[in-house]
Amino acid sequence: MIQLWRSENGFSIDGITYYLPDVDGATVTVNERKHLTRGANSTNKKGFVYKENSKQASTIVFDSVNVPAEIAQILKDAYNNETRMDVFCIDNVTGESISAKDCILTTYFQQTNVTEGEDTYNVDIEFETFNLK
Amino acid sequence: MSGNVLLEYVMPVSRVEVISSPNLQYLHNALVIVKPKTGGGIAQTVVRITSEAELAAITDATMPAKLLKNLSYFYALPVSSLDLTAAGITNIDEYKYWTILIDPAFTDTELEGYKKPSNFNGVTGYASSDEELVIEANKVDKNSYFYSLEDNAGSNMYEAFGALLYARKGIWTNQQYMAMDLSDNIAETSTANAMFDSRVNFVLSDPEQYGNRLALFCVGNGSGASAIVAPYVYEEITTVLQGNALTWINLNEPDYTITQAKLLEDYLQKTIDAYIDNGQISGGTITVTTGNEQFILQGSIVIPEPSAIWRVKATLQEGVI
Repeated sequence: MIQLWRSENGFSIDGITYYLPDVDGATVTVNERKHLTRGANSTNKKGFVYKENSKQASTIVFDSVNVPAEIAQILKDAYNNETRMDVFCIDNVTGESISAKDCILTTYFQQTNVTEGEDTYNVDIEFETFNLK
Repeated sequence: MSGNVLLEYVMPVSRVEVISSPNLQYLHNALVIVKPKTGGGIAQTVVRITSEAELAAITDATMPAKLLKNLSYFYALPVSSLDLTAAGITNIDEYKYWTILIDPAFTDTELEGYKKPSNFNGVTGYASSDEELVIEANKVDKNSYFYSLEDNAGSNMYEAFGALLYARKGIWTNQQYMAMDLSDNIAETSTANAMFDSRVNFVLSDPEQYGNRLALFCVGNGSGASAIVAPYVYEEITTVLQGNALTWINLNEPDYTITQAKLLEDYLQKTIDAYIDNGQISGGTITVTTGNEQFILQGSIVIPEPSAIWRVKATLQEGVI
């Protein structure tokens, strides 16, 4: 399992790697599901497989903290230009990783909490992909 | 000429040049070894050929011009012996190519003296009317010999390689049953079966409807035969992976860490995935890990061999059970 405290997180564009130096967590959501079904007469004990939500992309969300200005600008440009990015979360001890290729950024990068206290630094960065490993 | 002194003073800018992708043109280039023109001197110099007239100026062989049906140029080397390591050949290292085609004007006996250039590890093609010679030759790694009537002077070999090397839309294809200009007098199913079983490249002729068709185009792999595209696809992927590794290391200046190894692996896997997506390979994985040696990562690449369908053996059961 990937341990957050020893992980490296970020994305790459055209082979150039950019790191998110402070991350509170990474959340992966896979929307595609496989199910079993069978005829209602219930004689089939093995069933058939069908899929749902194949059209819906998977998401990976970084709860990032204090994103550097130059990275923020790259993310803003990437949203505007629909730039494809490869996103990663890698355990730097075991090499275990989550890799999402050809992602897009789903929302314009923006600080959403302007409050007193530490939460003001947190911004969710959500990517969508059909190539998650 | 330097820029404006004031501008350079206010804002000096250092430019970082990105390393370009590797040039793959050499994979599409052929070097044809021909006999020198009768009565002419033996130049022993590689010449770039773009027309029949340029070819006619250095050799009596005309069939290599069939390459120009698909290629805009090829290289030709007029020599009297097939020892391509000979000191008298002046400029063979100046050109990049991955296919050598030996003109059948060189006899089967002369072929025994064939020595590849020292740095050449590509495919060699030849055409002969000696079926046994072709059978044995095609067992050798990266040999792709054709059965050909002497009178045809390797016409079908040049045509087939020209179409292969052209690689329309950047995709290597096996050229199954492409139409060919000349017949090599193989028109019997039994002969064709024997040729196929022996992995002899040949053209099958059907005078009634289909004409002359390329019926097998394969390459030796040391233990048998492979699809003709296999060595080309492997070489291309290898070169592209090398180029992408160079670019990635240059751009990211990575430390020697597991994370960087994983990022490089992901980047290179994308290269392999592109070849899977365009159908040239059926799968492929790369793993890159740190090892015990300073500066160098350990890599392992597994790619199934590209293959080709040439025939179908089917059974028709008559009647209903």
